[in-house]
Amino acid sequence: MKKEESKILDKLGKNPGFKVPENYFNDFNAKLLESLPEVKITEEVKPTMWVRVRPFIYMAAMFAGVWLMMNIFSIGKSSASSEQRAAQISAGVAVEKNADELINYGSVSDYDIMTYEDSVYMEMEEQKNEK
Amino acid sequence: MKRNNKLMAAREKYDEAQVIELLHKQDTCRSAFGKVIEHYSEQLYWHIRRMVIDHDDANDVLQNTFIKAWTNIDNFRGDAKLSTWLYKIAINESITFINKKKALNNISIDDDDSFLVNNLEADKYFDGDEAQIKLQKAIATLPDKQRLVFNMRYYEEMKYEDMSEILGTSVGALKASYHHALKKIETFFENND
Repeated sequence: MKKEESKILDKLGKNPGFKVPENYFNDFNAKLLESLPEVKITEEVKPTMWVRVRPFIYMAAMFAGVWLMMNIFSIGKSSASSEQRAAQISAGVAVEKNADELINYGSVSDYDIMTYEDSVYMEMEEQKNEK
Repeated sequence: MKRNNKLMAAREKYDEAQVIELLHKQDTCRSAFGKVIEHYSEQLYWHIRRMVIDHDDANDVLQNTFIKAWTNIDNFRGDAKLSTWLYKIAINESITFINKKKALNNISIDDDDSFLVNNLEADKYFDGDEAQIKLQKAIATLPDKQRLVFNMRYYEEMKYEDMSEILGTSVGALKASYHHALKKIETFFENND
């Protein structure tokens, strides 16, 4: 602060020479307070616990809903694809030449083939027993 | 010494956060505002007085400042400091008052505020010497914003950061403004020796 100032100001000091009447501030404060008009204050209402936690509960419910819907759709999707695969396999077996193509180039997993082989084996066993 | 102790005790009792809370309740707002007046009237008075120079004018402007603050108290939500808010009102009221006084005296709004110091020698609430009158004349030649910055820094020793909040100007610009004000005052003294 000091180094900012000039030599002239250093000589003059910081009292500008202004005065006030005696007891001015006490009188001013008292008179002013008496003369203030009426005002209407809008008191802030404190939010209830429910109002404060409501956004978090809504958000949690929304995420739970999204999660639930994703689960429902993924279950439906996987069961539908299993049926489609079973139909593919049946069709493929009906026409034997397509079976190789289906196995080689189609979207048939090892699990699907094993399931099919098991069912064929079971059929053969049943036929044996019948004989 | 006793008076200083009393003042210190009064200041210690003033809890701004509590006062702001009480200001927002219908049944306690008036008494809380009484505490605000008690706490800020002196510092705001001196701030206004250095701007308008005359005691009676400073008294009117101070009164207007508090009345404006009181009638708008519902809009004050405590986002800024109470002192910042009051200073802003006081500055606006001071500048509005000076402009009105200029208009009444047929002085252009672009002219400096030297007319305010013309009768300083005759003011019964002034006991400064020739050098002090000269300094007030030099300060009155500064543009309003520079005058504010000079008074707040030199007389009130306010931090630049606090001034920045009140005046809405960057600290760098305020430092530059104060430096320019000092140079102008020195030049005034050199030219009026």
